[in-house]
Amino acid sequence: MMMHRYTPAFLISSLLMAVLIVVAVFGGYLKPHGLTEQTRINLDTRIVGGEQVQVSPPLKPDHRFWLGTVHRGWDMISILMSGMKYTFGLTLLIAISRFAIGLPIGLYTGTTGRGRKVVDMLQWIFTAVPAFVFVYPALSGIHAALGLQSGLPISHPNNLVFGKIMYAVVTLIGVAGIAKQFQERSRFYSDKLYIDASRLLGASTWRIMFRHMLPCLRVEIMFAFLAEFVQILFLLGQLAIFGIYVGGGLNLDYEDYKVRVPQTGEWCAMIEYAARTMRIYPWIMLAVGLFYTASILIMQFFLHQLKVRFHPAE
Amino acid sequence: MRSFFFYILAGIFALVGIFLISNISKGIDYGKPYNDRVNVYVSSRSTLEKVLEGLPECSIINAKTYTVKVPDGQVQMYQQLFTHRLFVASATLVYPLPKFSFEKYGQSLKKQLTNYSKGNFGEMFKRATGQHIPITDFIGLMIKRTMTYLIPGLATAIGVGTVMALAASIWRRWGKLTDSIHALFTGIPDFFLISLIQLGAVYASKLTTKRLILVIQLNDEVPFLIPYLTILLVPCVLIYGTLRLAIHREMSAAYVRTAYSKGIPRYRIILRHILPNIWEDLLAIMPRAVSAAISGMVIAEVICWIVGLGGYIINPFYVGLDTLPFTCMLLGAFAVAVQLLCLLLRKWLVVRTKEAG
Repeated sequence: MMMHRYTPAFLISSLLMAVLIVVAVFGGYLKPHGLTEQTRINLDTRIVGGEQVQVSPPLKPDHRFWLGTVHRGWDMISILMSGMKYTFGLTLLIAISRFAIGLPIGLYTGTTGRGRKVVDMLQWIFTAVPAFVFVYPALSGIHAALGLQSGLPISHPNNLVFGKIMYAVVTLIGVAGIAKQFQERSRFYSDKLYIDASRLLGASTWRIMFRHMLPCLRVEIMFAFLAEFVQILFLLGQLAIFGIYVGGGLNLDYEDYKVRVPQTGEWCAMIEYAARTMRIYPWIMLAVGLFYTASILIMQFFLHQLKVRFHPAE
Repeated sequence: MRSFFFYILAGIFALVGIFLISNISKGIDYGKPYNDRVNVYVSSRSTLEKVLEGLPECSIINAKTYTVKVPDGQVQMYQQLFTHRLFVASATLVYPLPKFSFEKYGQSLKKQLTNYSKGNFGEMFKRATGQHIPITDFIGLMIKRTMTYLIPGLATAIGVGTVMALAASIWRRWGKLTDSIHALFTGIPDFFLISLIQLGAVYASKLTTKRLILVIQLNDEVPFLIPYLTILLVPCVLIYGTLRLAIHREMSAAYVRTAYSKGIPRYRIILRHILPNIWEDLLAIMPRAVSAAISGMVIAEVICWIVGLGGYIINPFYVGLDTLPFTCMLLGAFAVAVQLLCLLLRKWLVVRTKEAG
């Protein structure tokens, strides 16, 4: 594996990735507008048809609020920056957990050959059938049982209970894919001469797995981790359309529709909120979609540049 | 053949798993509501203490969960009272934390299987008329609606993805452009893609003051273009990417170098020599493409309020009663059937040159 000098594309991708991480971690401090009762816009004066009128939120994008506001009168960019840490934090936790469970299973089944068929079967099942077919029915029943559809505040303990269950379900659904991937890789390395030599010298399976194979796989683990992070974001986005997400919301009743406004700005909650009002207030969905897409594109660009850097021949 | 039976067994396990997981909510023991407390959710312009002013018989049990103690046995009356109080967003009964009961779960599974054996697969409740409609009366229409765009969308995705990949390999400049578009599309989540298509349709209608493209279901008029485009785009991107890599891999093979050295033009090499060798890659990516198409289809139906196989689960006009396990199994069965078909096609069409074992 030969590393080459930094290319401009790699530097740009690294810079964008760094910006993404900084915004995710410090978004609450970097946001352009506040998210308090004092910074809320209740009524705004706008020119409509040449006349000055009072308009209530959500407000369309203008020079002050580049992506508009939400129903509670807060700036879209600020609320999305503030909520980014919850979404990315949950995604990171799920990704780490999937690897913590799937990687040892994959290494073991690939090295020893035991349990290979089970992993193959599970991976085939979870690839053939979309993940939400398993996840949604389980989570929707629990979501209703905990009364979350009535819009409990974020501090309510039921939100934490549901969060734990959702984390567990979404983690387990992806373990088989990782196990299969690293089962194949460890099977490949298992045929190498130095692994045979290690076996002959009496090394245990665990030693072979963690002292010999794991170091060979570290670059692939890094690539797979980033790819898995993106896939989890996709899955969480799909579940959000079905109204399944972590984090509370405040139910607001208007004349002809109801809406649940997120209190934390968590992105999946924002997707569900945006989907309900998309045809009336399209800028909300456009703003959320833009942030989501930009984050995914930055990560994919960075992943591609990493692959080019570490495997230039490919 | 043995491996094919292995996958049939896996498919059966998948359907059993979907059935078991879909019924998990039936094992939840909700318990009875407390008869001496109410949750009172106060708007940000007031506080719980201010709302309780003038009600000395009520006191705050837990400010974090907005739980208020009320006189025993009068929860319903106080729930109504608080609902109509100023600055109260909502007031609800308080239930204990639900528990999971394996006994209740087992009994509900048994009941569900008994219902299935009698042909009862659940009911749909129509909000507007208050009708309860057995899903068996509806399922044929739902399947027909969904297949109207799922099958053509998937077929077009396979065709377009393959043709685009071949064209990108034959004409390199065109290939650079399509590779950039491919990179962009892989980053767009399917819910955002559907939203962009739907918003595009809305703005097109506003500009022309005509209803060009239907964006939601109106009675029996079902949108076609939006779900069709969604189902087309997502798998097409997957297939394009896979075949581009496959063609790139084959281009460095010895037989291709031989063909070049014999003076055969690029397009002929790709169409006559490389194309037959990449069918296996297409069949290998088909399961993921079908899975992506089904996901896209369900999200399109939910966003466009289509009462189809996936969209009815969140629809403002219908509520499914005990229908979710049945429809999830149908979706799962369709996905598994396509997987098995692809496996059979791989077995029949792909010549294995590797050693057995």
